Amino acid sequence: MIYRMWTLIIKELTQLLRAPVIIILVTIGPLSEMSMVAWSTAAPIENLPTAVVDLDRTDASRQLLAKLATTKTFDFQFFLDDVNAITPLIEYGDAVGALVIPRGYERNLKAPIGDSAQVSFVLDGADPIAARAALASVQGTVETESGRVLAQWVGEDASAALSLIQPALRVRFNEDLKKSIYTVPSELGLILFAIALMLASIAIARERELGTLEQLMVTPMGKFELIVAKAVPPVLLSYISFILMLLVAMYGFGVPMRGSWVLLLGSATIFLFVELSIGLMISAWSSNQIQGMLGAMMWVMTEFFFSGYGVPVENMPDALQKLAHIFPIYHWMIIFRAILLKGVGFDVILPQLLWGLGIGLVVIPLGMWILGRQNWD
Amino acid sequence: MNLAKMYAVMVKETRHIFRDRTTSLMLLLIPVFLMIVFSYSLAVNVKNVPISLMDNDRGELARQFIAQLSNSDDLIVGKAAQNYAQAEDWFDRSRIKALVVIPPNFTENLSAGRPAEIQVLVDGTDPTTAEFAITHILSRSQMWGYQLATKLYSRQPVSGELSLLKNPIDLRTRTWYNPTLNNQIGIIPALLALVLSLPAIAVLGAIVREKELGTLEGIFATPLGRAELLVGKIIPYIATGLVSAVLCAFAAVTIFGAPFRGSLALYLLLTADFFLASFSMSLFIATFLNSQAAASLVGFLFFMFPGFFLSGIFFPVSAFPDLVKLDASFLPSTPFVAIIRGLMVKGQGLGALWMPALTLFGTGMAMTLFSVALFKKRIG
Repeated sequence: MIYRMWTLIIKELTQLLRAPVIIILVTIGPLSEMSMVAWSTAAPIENLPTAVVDLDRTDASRQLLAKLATTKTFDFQFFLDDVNAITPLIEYGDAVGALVIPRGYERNLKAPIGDSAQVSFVLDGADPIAARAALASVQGTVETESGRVLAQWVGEDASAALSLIQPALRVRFNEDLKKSIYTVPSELGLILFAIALMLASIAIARERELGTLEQLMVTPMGKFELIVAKAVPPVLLSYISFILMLLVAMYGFGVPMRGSWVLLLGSATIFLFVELSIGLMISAWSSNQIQGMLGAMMWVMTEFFFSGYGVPVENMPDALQKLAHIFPIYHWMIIFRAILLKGVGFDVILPQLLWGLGIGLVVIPLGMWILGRQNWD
Repeated sequence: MNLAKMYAVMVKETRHIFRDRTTSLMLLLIPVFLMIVFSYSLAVNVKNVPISLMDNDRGELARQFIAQLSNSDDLIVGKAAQNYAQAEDWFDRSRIKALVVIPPNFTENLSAGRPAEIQVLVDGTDPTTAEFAITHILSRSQMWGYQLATKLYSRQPVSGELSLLKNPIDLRTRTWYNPTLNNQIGIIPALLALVLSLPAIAVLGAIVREKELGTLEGIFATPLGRAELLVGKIIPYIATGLVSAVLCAFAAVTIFGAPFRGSLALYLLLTADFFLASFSMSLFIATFLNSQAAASLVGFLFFMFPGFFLSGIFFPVSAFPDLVKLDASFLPSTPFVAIIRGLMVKGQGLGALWMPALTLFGTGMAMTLFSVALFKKRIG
């Protein structure tokens, strides 16, 4: 049985390696895409094009603008004299927001009694993510500025006496709250799983489309051997891709590796096999490669939403949180982050490993059943 | 270009698509399916971060403080930790995202008007969740501290002056189009650009398949021109794509309450424009590939993946490094995200959207011309 599988593995590998474009696509492709995406999404949201209408034109108003500029969130591209000029900028998407400082800002800011100094911020909500970043930055700056002025009025002692609770904050695992440490492993995981799935989803469908599956079926090889042998070459290729991307993530983007390598590489092997079995199942079901491709695309895109990237799974509706368990990437991302960032041991990731194995135990027989069910059309 | 010949290719390709019921259904319905799953996962955006407390004081004020922290939907205060080792284990298993430690003499210090230091430990693995937890824990505990301070001071004459002070700066924000900064309104429409990238991959596969199976040579033996072949091949896909574009938008609007403030006719026109650009990109790439395995990898690496991250759905394009901005502008989904947001969320017409529409059209034309020019060389 091992020998029969071995011959099929050799055949598959030869076939894959015959097309150098595939080798380039599974090595350099993922690496360059991951680097580009990681590079552009690792930084906080900065340089949002913003308009300014400073009707006060005083030291105080300029000081507020300077404070906002130091947050780097904004790129003040438009200086306007008229509030009405804001409308077209936001409608056409040229500016994400506009800050309006009305006349009398400095006067009101200096007097401890009377009206508060006013600042308005007009915001384009069409892109909520950019809008939230802009809003948080403006609110934070205004709050600090407010606090500074307030402290001047009441004196340092009184404001200190008011803050009875003094929190000592300590952030663990990702001390600087660097976004890249969270996002880069997600991006890596997505590419890795997608590459593995794509390679596998075509493997059987191709034989069927070209009519060579029949020839394979008349060999003494069993369905289990066929599926396992078909999975080995894509696992090898994805593994190379995984190691390369991991090195870039660690040395290029500062993702720490605090856990055990054996544990990481071992669980990666399990999860790659599971993901590939899903690809092979899709492949066995498809009657041609386009179906395999579309099916794999559908799976991997759905799966990505359960990797905790856009929305953490804990924030999803209950039904989806349960559904997340059938997607290997959900368990893999938990393991991957826990080993990289927290350096946890085997006992902590055991439940996730068992889930992965469980999915594999369902998917492989299912794939075999689907493979046997169809009449080699 | 002979229209009758092109029509013949169109008919052949349409039969190809619909002869195989499974493939045609997948082509039509996968975008709709993805649209529904994605929207569903984004629609409910409740943040409830699990945290735990460690109460080393067990006094009256500590109890009040804990009640204050628990009194919100943002933080879910779970079982109290007995010691650091237990909390450590919970952190490792991601059961809690933050731990608040109340020191032994908390009640005693506070009652005497002395400040008390609380320790806040946060799991920084997911910075967004971590920042959320930090903001909420700090603001709740400080608010509680202020209240306590004013209660203490109310026995002293200082309080009168303090409460008279105004807020120095009054910030008023006005958010257009989406006042609550809701995902349903801003992100779900933009996802259309992602799910509607899928037909482009089918086009890529369809062309490469003819090469792989060797049927392209048969077609080349006919008097068909290259342009007739390529254009005739993509038109049926534009038609099926438009059907799923309508279904996807319908699902987004009816199930998830996404806005549709612009005109439907313009939506169809500009979606066709997007398909023109993304399909001609597929044509161009197809001239370099010979196997469907390669096509599927390229389809993922150069359409879906960058379409997700770089087209502005989740990250504003204006915040990218310049080099990536350039790359993103070549991606058909980037202008399409701008179009969809303008049309569906802002209710704009062609007057505001001509720029991205023209970009797509330009990409489409240029890529078609390139592919027609390159196609011959690759076959001969």
